[in-house]
Amino acid sequence: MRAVFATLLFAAACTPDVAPGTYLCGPEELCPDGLACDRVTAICEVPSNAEPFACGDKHVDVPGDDAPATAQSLGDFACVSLVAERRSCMPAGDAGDFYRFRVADGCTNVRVTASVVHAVAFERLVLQLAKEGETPETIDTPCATNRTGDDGNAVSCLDAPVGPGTYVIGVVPDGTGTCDNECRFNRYGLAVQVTNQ
Amino acid sequence: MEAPAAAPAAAPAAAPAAAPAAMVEKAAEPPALEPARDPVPVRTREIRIDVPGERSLNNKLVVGGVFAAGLIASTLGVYWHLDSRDASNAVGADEFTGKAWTEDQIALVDRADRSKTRAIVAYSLGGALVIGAVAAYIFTEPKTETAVIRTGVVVAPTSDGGGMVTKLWSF
Repeated sequence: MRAVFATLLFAAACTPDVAPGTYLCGPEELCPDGLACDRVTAICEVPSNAEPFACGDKHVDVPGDDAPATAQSLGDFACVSLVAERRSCMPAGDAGDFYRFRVADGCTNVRVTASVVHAVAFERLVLQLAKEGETPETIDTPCATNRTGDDGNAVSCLDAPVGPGTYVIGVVPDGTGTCDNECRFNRYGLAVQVTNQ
Repeated sequence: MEAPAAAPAAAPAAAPAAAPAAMVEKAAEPPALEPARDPVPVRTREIRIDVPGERSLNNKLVVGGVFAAGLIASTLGVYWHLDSRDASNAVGADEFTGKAWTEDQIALVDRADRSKTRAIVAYSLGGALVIGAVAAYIFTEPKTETAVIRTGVVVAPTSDGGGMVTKLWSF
């Protein structure tokens, strides 16, 4: 009898058994068969437990920062600054979030490095940069640390030379990873720093 | 009266004296040859020996080939079974992994399913071949033949007055 059980156990091990709540959602809400992406936690759950997207308490969307002219302030940056971090949210229909910062006078040969970390399950976010009053341009620089997305997060980076003055950096969706327009939202963390070249 | 009485007494006395002489003459002659008698078997016995049949080379090759093919198929089944189990264990989880479900995991699931299917086919084929080989080995076993050996001892007199003992086997 034990041999029969052992044989059955041996054979049964050939079918992957993935319990709900064990994996984060993959790109475009990818989940194992029979599971669905919970958009609140970005974890693969039983479909009945999957909830619609919500920004949550840690990623509060600030209204009115959708254009460079109405950007939030990150403050003044020294020539070599600390890292300014913000957590926010990009609900469905949000065109982008913009942040303003000022590089101190007298800074030469400095550059701004920024990264936005967002869930890989939903729409992809990229960074834009412009001097105040100019039209922001998307700058998608390869990140210094190569991340695989295995931890459920994707990163977009920006690295550009800057001079003294006021700049606007934007977090915008790039139009990919939208689950055929079913997951055009995301939560993100932004980090911005000015450093020497 | 006395003479007649003496005569009968003399006649019986002469007769015993003449008889030994005749026997001596007869003993001097060679004895007449008696015709040889038919041999008389004293006792006969049958020995039965089972002679096992021998498989032909062709039979051995066919049965052995089928059995070997079954073993190979079963071995492949084990290989795919283990491969399927490895892939399944790599992706299976019952607690939070902290990893995202990506194409890598999907590829592992596909590999587990593919190897599982192959293992089932290989096990089925291998099992059928092994069972078929065993069945063929049993059903094509050559029949055992029974050989009977008859033995006997014959005692026969010889023409010269002696005897002869003969042991016989026949089969």
